[in-house]
Amino acid sequence: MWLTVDPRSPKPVYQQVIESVKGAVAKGLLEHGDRLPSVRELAGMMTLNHNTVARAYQELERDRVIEVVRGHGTFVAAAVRPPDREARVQELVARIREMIVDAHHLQLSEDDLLELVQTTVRAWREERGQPDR
Amino acid sequence: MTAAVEMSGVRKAFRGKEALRGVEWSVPEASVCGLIGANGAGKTTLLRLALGLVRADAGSVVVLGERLGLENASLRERVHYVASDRAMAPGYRVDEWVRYASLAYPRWDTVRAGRLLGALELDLRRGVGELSAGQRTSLQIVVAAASRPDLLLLDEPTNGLDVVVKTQVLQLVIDMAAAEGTTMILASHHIEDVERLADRLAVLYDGHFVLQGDLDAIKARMHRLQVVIPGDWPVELEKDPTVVRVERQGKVAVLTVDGPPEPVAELCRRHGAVLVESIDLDLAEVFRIVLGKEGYSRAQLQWNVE
Repeated sequence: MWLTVDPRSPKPVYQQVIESVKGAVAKGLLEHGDRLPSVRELAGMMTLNHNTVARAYQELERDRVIEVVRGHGTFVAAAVRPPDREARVQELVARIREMIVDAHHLQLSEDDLLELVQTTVRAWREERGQPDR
Repeated sequence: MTAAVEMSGVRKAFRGKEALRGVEWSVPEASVCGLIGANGAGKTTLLRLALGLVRADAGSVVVLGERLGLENASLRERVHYVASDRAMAPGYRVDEWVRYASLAYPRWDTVRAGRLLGALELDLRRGVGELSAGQRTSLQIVVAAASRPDLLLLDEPTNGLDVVVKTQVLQLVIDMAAAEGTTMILASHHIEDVERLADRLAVLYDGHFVLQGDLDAIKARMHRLQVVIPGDWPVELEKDPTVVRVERQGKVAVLTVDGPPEPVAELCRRHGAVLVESIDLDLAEVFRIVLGKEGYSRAQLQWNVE
């Protein structure tokens, strides 16, 4: 199952569903046009509150990760540039800054950190079955 | 949004001892509200009030738009109660129990009852008195689902259930809520069940609510920051009203923040913090902090967090 949710985690469950779906799309586990379970099906499968799942789906639809075709179901949308891209790039930068601070405390040099990033990207590609780009 | 249950200023005493003292509670329609509290906090009394089994000494109780009074027979058909320790007449067989229940509820769904009895592997010929605790709960759930209630009250429904049956029961309950918009109140001290099933939460302590609201909002409300400040400890941090607890060990401190963490993080950085990172704070800890703020001893609380 591409969806993992830990209800005990401090992170709100709807947020975990969102990240799980986005992660599955990024990893290629879900592709454009794939049908997702309905809110009711997913709530049952994962034993999660249906309103929570519905809220995650609403946000995913707003972010254009999924699209709901009335009467047909919910599908993975074609990749589009999200409307709030600039703001999210800034958030990404903030997270990278946190990484730099952490790396400093782990006594990693800038080069070590960059190498770690490259190794991780390589491992990620291999997991997706596309070792070289 | 209309409320399925609305309580205001509710008080109830048993033999001079106050079980509920000033309950304000609103459960929106089609929501699943987790009701959490230590033993003796008043959970069961609240559910019995909502059922109309006991009457409040003061305040008002409105269930599905009806103010509870002496005559609420029609409401009984729309509200259902499931409790793991509920007494069931032992002389009945399972099929007889189900048949009598079918007569009591006008919206009874025979097909659904039959399907669920099979799915939960309940033997129709067995006596109700011979069933295990888990099977008795399963039987109650079958009756609850087949009666198609508008409001379902679940009192510790997963107690005594093995993992497989528990999952089945929870899935059944979720499907009822998703398919029919059944409002549910789930009293439990299994926090994981509440975190899975509920979208709202109400924490009862000593006869009144100390915390209630949207579950995700409650989770997102409190944060914990670990900070390293090499210089003098900034007293401003202790004065910040959103910082509810500070645990210091030399340069390292753990701050518990009731509110957005960013302003506090920024304050730390301004005072020369070399590290500010957020660390996990789970729901059970949130409860402890809220109750601690109310002046209650943490030792009195027992959460089953498995």
